Amino acid sequence: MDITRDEAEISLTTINRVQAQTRRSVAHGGGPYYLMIWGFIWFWGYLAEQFLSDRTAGIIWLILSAAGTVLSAIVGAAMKKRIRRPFHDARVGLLWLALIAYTALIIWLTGVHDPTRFGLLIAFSAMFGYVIMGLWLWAPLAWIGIAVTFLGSISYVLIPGYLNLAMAIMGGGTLFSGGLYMLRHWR
Amino acid sequence: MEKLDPIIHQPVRLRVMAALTALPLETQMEFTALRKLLDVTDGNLGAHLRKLEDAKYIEVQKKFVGRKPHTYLATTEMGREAFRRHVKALEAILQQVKEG
Repeated sequence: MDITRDEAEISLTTINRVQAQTRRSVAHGGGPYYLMIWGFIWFWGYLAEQFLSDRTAGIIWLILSAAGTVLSAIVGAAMKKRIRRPFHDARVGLLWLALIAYTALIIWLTGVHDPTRFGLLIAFSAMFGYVIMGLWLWAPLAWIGIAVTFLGSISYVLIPGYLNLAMAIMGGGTLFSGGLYMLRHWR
Repeated sequence: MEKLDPIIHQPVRLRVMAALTALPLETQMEFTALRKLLDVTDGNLGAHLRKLEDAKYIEVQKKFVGRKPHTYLATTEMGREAFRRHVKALEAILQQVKEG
């Protein structure tokens, strides 16, 4: 069968577009929802930490984290219906498990007790996960991770008294708006 | 030089193969997810999937998730190889025109 150069070009463009769409929206389709869920949680968690007592903020963080875990599990289950993958492709889940394990190990070894530094260490570990996922899946995820880490570091140095407020707005806001952006641009 | 594959060349089937080969080998996509991704009707997609299945380019499996039946699709190694050859053929056409 013979086709023209234009037809060949259109076919190749179509292939590239569909493959990119598939990788983003189907294979890793839970991404925007996870970002929005955890952006929402970060916003209210850090806001509580800024304005409420440590004890109350701690309880709010616990409730929010539990809700986030349940919602993430629901999103994960919904995505599992769309895509069935062999175990060796479960890299994203394994990445987060490894990050949690290493972060716990670092906290144990270095004995970080200061609540601010403890919170930042956990937040930056999560952002490191976003950077890795960005390198694997979609570059904007890496930029979100780098931006939140950068803004968090700057806030820690320049306005330590308002670090939690900064993390609520910049960290939570970046995650949530990043998720919204992905939802609008991924199909 | 590789030849164009008439089964894959049809626009909907080309997009189906592009989508399924974007997934790692052995990874399956659910029928509804593929239909939404490609923005085609159930009947249209079903007809093209049958052609690809007949050519042994894809495998179709019906499974129950909870109590609901779901249809899962994946490319076969033969399908991936055919798609790879088809893409090579398309690239060769572009290359020929550039050199010509």
